[in-house]
Amino acid sequence: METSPPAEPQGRRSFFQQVAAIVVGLLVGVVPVVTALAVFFNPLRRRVEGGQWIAVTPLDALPADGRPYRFPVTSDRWDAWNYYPPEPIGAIYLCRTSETENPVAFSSICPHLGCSVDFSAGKDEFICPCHNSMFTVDGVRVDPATSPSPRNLDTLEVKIRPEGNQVMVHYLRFKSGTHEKIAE
Amino acid sequence: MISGTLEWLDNRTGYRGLLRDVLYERIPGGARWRYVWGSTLVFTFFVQLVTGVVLWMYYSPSTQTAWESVYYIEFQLAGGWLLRGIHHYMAQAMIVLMALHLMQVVIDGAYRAPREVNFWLGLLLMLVVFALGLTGYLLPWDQKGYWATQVATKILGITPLVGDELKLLVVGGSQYGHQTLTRFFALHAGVLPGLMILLLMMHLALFRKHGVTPKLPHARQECDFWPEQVLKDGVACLAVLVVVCFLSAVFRAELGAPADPAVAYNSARPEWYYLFLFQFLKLFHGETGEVLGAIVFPGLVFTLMALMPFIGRWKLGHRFNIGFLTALMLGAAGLTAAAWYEDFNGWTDKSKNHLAAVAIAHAQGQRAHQLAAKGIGPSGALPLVRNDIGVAGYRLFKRHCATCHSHYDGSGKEENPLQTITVAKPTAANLFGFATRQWVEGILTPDQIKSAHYFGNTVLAKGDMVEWVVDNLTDAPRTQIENVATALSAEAELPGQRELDAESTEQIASGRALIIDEFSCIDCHKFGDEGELGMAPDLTGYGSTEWLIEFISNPASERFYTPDNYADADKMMPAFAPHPEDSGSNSLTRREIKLISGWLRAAWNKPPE
Repeated sequence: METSPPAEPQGRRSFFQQVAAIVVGLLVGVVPVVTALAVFFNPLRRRVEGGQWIAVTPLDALPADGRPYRFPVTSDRWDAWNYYPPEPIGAIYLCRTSETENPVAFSSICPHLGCSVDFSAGKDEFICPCHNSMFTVDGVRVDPATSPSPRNLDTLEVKIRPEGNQVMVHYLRFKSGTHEKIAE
Repeated sequence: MISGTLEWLDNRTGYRGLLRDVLYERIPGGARWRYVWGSTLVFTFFVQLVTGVVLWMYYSPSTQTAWESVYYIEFQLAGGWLLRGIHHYMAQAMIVLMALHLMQVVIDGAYRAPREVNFWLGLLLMLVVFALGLTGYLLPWDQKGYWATQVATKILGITPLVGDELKLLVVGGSQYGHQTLTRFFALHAGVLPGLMILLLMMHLALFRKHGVTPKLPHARQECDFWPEQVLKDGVACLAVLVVVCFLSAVFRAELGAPADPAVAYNSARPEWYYLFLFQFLKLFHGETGEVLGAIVFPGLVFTLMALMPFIGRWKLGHRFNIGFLTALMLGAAGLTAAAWYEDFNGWTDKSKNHLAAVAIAHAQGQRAHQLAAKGIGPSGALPLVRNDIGVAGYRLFKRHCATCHSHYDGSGKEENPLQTITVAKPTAANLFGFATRQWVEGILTPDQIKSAHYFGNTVLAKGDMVEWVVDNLTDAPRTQIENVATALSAEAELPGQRELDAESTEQIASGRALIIDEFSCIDCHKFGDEGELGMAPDLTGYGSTEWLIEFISNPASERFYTPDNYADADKMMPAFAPHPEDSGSNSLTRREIKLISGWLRAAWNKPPE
């Protein structure tokens, strides 16, 4: 230590070594970490699903009495490597007031916190068993000022497929707890 | 502002002092390349932790999801193959670097007082690394890992006194299953890395306490760890990383067919760094031999290594240590080379079998990937493979038919291993391309029907059919034979010939007429409404699924060969399912026969739908 050579050349050489060591050190650290993080962040890139059109029921099976009826939504699905043949993945309410009009579809998922809403035929209202959000047959909150739900029941797009006269519903889920209806 | 915050932090943590201790360690004799090995090992461990934790997020340890999740990582997850590749090859790099580190430590005498304890910690770390390699090899749950690891746990089972208990504890039961995977995974991702971190911290702390063992303490100016040695270490790590990334990209980490306890894979080998032990065990025989070779001898070697610090106190002892370690490394290298040579020399029967087994395993793996891409059901990928015509048909033909029949394309084209089965001494026809135009044409060609490819090795070589072909077809016009072959082959409705058959209506009509009129095959054979059963095999629907299933079930029935043929019954094809009403007494089930006939008809050899 006492016999250190003059500081100047040592300093310059040392400076380049320091820069090189930092660069190399960063490189060897960054490559594995970035590879690992890229794979870790994969779910963020797969988020957009956008819903799917699913045949729910033949139109004839839905009475035109203005009362909502509950139907299971059946679809095949993928879970990472697994493929599951069609099975129930959720439920919707369909309601039609006349033979000539298309039915209206409501998601059965409460916009408040995602519980499954029941239809009470006696009261003619949708009632969420979790926090008592109530909706009319049109899916409108019964008392918006006090309702726990921040918005009305979520409607889903409906079309009639001519083959088999099937009611097709554009099934998707929406974010819970927001005033706006935002697709998930 | 920033300096103020750092000041505050240093005041509370003393991080500057720690950093100084880490970076400004003195290296007597200056920075050297020979000191890099320890650092590269720390680096490889860091990479294994980072990649391992993310692999963990996608891996699912159970017999129905392990292979499947690794398949997902390797083929469907963006970047997953690279992550797995780095983890796979970095593990192997770790072994190489560990050997180099050990050599350097022993040659430089760095194991001697006062560094004995640190040397022992290093030896323990080595065992942990070996155990990590062993446990990781099973996790993909493919044929190779499954069958290679069986050997390791069987060795554990022969440990004197506690072998059975030890094996039960590691395997989690008497057979490999869910609990084996959960245990191996807990060891691989929990216990062993935890132990490793603990030992590594102690190893590094003691290293800091004693410092490097200078090779030539006065050759050069003493310097600090930072930056010169850090740079050298970094460059070495970079070199390791470049090699590992290169290997990952060029030789992708393999994933064989899903583990199947019913299908032994005798050519499964452990990872290359275990090959020397694998080869070493071949030198020992019997139960005592196994114990000696697998437990006692490695135990003695390890004990001797642990004693090195004491042996090395004498100058001669140090030389002995270097000599011993060199001999050990050379011995391991020699055994590895011998194992490699035995498997891959390409000309001994053993090697040929091994190479064929590896090729077929590879083909089955690729087939499994194709099947899995279509979606794996909740019961996992194994049923996909077991019910696949390509893989299961091959396995069934090999087991039940390939004592007599071979199945290979002799045309010299590159052969699909899943369609290639050769038999040393076939006693029946080569069924490759059975019922295709070429195959049928062969049976109608005099020197071919007599050859070993058809009836040459069978009792039918002296039968009426061969005689008839020789007498009547030797001078027959080629186009006539071709048309007959086309017509007969069309009966099979082979999936691979569908378009050809649709284009050849004229040849087929002409061929059918020849069969009935000019060649009068119907004198012996039934063909549609013409001819009668009882003399020779029915040509109606020849080679079709239905025909094949019936034929394999009972070739001795009236529809196929006659009682005359079966006078010499043990020289004829056995019936595999002669009792339709009592399926328990048949040697093959209807499902199995269906798979075999599908395989013969090459109904699978196209991309799965």
